[in-house]
Amino acid sequence: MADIYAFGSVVSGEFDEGSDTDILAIESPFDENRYPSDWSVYSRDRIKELYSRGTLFAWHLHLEAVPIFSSASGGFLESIDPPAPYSEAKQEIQLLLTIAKTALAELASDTPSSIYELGILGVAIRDIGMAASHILNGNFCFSKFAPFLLRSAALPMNRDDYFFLIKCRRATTRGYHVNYDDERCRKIMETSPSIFEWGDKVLTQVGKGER
Amino acid sequence: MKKFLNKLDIERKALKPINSLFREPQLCGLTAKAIEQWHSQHPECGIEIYKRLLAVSNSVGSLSDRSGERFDEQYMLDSERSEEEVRQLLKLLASQ
Repeated sequence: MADIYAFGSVVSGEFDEGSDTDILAIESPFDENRYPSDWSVYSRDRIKELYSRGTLFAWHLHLEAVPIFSSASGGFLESIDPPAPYSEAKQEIQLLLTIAKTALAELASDTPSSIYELGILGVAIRDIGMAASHILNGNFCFSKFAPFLLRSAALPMNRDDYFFLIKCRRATTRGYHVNYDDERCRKIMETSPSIFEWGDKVLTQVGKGER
Repeated sequence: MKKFLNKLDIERKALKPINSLFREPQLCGLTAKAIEQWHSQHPECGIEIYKRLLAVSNSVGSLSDRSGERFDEQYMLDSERSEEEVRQLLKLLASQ
């Protein structure tokens, strides 16, 4: 039995020329080899576990996934209870800040993989915004611009520079061309103290459960 | 999330020596698309290097694409295979 859902930018309407199409397949019994390699494939038990833990991904699916196909009557996600409350925001933001710091340390050490590291930095910043959104805004936000939409702690970064980071991630994972230049990389690294001040501010507010 | 950290470690380990040798920003994540574009611009590098790059790309890519249950014992075996592919590529480059 299989259930297929679409989620992400194709569903939210936030797609652009570099967006991919996020497809989720939930299957029981589990056989990941039946599906295209760029699909996310999960067993029903795994989805239930994610929902019971109340992970960010579970909430993303719960709030956004749109059924495309179901081999049974009614989709699987619609048949299970909503996810447990998301309670891992603080720990995840701490880890994402560590990931961002590691990427910046690699860039500072003149890594030969600068586009890769810039992409990691972008993903970490984006995911901090998503993880903090439900506490700081009162509702989940899975937009790629989530860091700018935090009402009390919007990311103090030029949007073009941020989108450049996201493009670096797409170049890394999908082979898209990105107009890389050392000057832009240097400029972003110079802003890193303000990025971390922002990250610490978000972390503090999330810790206090502030709005 | 800790598995994501593990994934980053594996990718860095594979990408660093290759990007260090090629110094080609657009190769960055070693996707098949990027390698094909690079090869069309540098045919002098030969088909063997191209094939080896694609082999590394496949093994690193298959590690990166995984989610959910795809992190398992097979994942660790594929990580070792990926490291071996990188070693083979570096050996080939050193011999030229």
